[in-house]
Amino acid sequence: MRLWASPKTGVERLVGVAVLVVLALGPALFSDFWVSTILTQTLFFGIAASSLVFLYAYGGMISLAQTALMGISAYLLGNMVTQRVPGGETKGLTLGWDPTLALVLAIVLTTLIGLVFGAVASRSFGIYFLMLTLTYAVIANYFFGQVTQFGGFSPIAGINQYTPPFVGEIIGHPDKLYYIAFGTALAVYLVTRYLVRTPFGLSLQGIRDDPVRMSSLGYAVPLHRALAFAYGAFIASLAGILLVWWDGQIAPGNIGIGATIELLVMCVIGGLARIEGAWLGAFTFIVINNYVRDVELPVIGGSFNTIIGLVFLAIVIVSPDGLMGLWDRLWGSLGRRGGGAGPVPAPSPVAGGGTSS
Amino acid sequence: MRRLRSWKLLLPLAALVAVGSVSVSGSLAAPSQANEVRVAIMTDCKGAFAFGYELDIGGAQAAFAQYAGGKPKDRKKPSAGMTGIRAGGKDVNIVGYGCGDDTAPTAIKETRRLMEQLRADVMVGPLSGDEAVAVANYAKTKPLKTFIIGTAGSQDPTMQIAPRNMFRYHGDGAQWNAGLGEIVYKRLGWRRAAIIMDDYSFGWTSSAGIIADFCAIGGRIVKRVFPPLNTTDYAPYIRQLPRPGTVDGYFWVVGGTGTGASLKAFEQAYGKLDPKQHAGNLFFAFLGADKEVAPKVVGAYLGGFGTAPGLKRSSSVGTRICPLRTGSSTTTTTLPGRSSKA
Amino acid sequence: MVERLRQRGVARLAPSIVAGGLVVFAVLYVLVIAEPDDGTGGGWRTTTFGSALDDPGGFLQVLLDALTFAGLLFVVASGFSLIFGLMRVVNMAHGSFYLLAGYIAYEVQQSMTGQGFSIPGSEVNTWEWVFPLIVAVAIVAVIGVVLQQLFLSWNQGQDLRQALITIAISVVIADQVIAHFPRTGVFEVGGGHAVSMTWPGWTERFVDLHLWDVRYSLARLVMLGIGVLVGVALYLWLYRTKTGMVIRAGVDDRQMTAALGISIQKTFAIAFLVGAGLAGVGAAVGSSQGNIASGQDTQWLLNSLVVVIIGGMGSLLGAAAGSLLYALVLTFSASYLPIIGDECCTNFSIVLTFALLAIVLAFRPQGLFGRAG
Repeated sequence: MRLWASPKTGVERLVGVAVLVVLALGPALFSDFWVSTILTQTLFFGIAASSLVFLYAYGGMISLAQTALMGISAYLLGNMVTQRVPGGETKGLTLGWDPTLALVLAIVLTTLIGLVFGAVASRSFGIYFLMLTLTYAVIANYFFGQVTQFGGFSPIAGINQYTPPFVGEIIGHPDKLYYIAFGTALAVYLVTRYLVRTPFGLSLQGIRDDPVRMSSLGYAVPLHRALAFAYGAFIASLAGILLVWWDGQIAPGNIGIGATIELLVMCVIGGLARIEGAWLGAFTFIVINNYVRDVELPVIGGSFNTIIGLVFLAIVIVSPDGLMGLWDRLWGSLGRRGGGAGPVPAPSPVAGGGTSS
Repeated sequence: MRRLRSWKLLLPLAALVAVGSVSVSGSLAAPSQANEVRVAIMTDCKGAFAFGYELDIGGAQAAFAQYAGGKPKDRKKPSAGMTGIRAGGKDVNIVGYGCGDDTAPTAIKETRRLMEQLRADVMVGPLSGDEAVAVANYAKTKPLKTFIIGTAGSQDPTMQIAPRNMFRYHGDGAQWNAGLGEIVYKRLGWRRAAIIMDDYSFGWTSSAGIIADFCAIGGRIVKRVFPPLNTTDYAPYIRQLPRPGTVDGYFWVVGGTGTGASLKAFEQAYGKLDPKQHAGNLFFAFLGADKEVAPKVVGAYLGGFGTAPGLKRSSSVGTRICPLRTGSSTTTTTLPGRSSKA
Repeated sequence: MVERLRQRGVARLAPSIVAGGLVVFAVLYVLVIAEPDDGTGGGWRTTTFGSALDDPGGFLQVLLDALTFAGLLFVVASGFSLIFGLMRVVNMAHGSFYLLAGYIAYEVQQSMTGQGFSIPGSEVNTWEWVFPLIVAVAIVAVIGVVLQQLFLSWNQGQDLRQALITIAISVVIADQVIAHFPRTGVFEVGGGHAVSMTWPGWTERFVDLHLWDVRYSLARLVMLGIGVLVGVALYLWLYRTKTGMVIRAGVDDRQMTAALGISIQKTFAIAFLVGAGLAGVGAAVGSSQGNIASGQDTQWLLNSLVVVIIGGMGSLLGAAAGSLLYALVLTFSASYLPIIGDECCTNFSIVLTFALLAIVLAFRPQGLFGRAG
């Protein structure tokens, strides 16, 4: 095996390692606001986005339920750890359980819920799958907004007071949370990259490309899809835990249709075909979102939502594979030296394009 | 082994990126002066209460103009900013305006932007109950910053969460309704009443004020109905209310986008609204925006709210505003957030 | 039946038995099990009205509430279903069309009646309600077609890309509507706060049904009537005209229809025109019934989604059945879920909505009247 399959891969590796180094040095390089807000958010929204990208790029499933799953794990944690003490939280179940137990339960239960969701949706494909997962998302949002026993419209707050001993105090320690998010993101990236090369991952990609053929070859198509969805839910649950540690609270607004669409926008900006795109998209979106809030559009008026909507529209029209797709095409147009580049078809992009080992 | 080679290529690149990012972060952090107070104002520019954006900011800045020499940049647009404010020997700079949408997550996002990115020392806001709950929890983690609640009426921020660096200079949502129960008991002879309220923190707080007042003087609440916020069709919830004739009256604590819709549903279930049978919290005042229902409740009593925009034309709306008995609500100040449901 | 049991095995039928049992229990609960609230705290059998036997009048009223709301649901969702069935476009901007049309209709009615502050229903005649509706429908339908031509005509078959495009459009439209509507009111222009249209004066009365002393709101019955009217009109259009025939052929097999020399693009444009227009009709009715306010775009997108997922995509009958089932579950769960103290349980209606979806999807992934694929 050669060092790099192509110059493109080489450049990508260099950029990747450089980004890792910069991120590892994060707090030394950036201002507090950048570390605690922009970069930490990028990391955990990137994790959530990567679950969506994983499901799409390797399973052919466009899931709009990832934000909801993120919220479900956050809500589970919030209901389990908060305590009903004077001056404490009054919303939710306030069970006051051990934070380590609650953390594990929140992740496990969310994964199981994801498995159920995935099983119900496992026979739906394409646009039906999108609609069904969107319905999950909206129902989860209404559930936590209306069933006051589990939260209600008001946020469950003060959740980040209760962290497991191996994490320790995170309030007032933005750098610690940043490194936790960084480590989690890295682990999620590596595990996902590994998973797609296992027999499970390969048959999943087969199902993505031709479910009928895989089914007649004897593969359990719905089972593979449900399991993949459960893995997506697992990743999303990690993002949910980080969200609630970062924000301290969880409210229906965190998992509303707006938030659902925001996560999709991140994925589309970054590129749905490659896992890396998740973090690239999250970063781009969060920076835009943060710095255009004061901008007023001349003539047509409206808020930054119009700007984001128009940017999104432009990306979907010009480059449906987002920034990563643009990058792939750039190399494709450079004399097609880089293998695996070239225009990527929208419906089923080349899995893990441009990478080899 | 070969992988090591890539590190040689990597180092210059990493250095380049690092230098770039240092310069970026350096330019982002503008030097702060010791002799200034940085103020941020946060209210809603989206969602159910977006109509008050400029009004709220104008209200929050009025004292700067009156007492501290502030000059508005644009008299018709308070959010354009203000210059020349000096108070206590310090320059006061308004560094930014937050744009909430009536939800907690956005409130936090905006508060972070104002306090951390724009490095405000003091924030005035937010507008509504759950936003204030969220900001109060955030305030706990930032003990060196100061938070002054804008118009939010939920009790939790200053009674339950109660961070030391958060202050309220007006009554809470329960206090706004002080006197309402008493006035319908004495003037309209209500003894048995039903209440319908939004199922969230402000709905509970606001109802707590009404219920405490009404029950303290001898009235009875025979039925409580909790429609979820932003219900599409209120008919099934209205059906849960006792029929007219079986109660003396109804208290309405349905706000946001539901005020008019729920009253219409009541009309469609039980016929014309009799103003003597209905009383509401401040949201009745916002019926000014809902042109169909407002004339039907002319003469009804409603809870106060300082000077809401819809209240200024009270003569044409015809609604009577209850006296706001601040300081007298000993019953309500001991109520926890959800006591209205107890 | 026994033969079938043996063939499929009891284990495989278990889900059917559980689901069937749940449905039967829900029906029995409403009809006989529930008990009226005596104000003593309540238990699992306590509901506002008690069972249908205890209070037939109350039951009938709730049933009518459900039916009339289903009328409104059908109007909005049938437009969504039509576009999807023919073009395989999940029009995520459907809710935004609804929002825009609702505000337009309100503004037109305001300028027609010239009331400035308030409009009592008695001062609104039929024309002053119908004309705003026509204007709103026309504007939204044209906007729908223009957007379809600009953004959706050149990427047929790319389902996902089209859905993403309509999401982007919906974000922009909703934000623009909030920035610029309502235009008349006591506050500044914009903000997207709640306003409402006024039904014509003659609807402000009750109809005596001569049954258990029930008098029911004429306005709500009109809402049901509009739903039925739209349903009949759509049926006649789809099943009795040439355009309708082409559309149905397109739903069944788009390529074959195009191969027969029929301009499928023109048909798509017509379908989008009608689909967006139906969102407009629904918005005028909905804003007269309740109100129109920012945030309702997502509510109505969800409503449409649930209806077509239950009923099946692109099926007129499915949209009707979906509307009916969804409205029944929503309305009855709010009125007939037990009352246990003040905390429980009428706020659990969303759980039943999800249960409805899960039950339908478990047995028919393509919806009640949808076709596979």
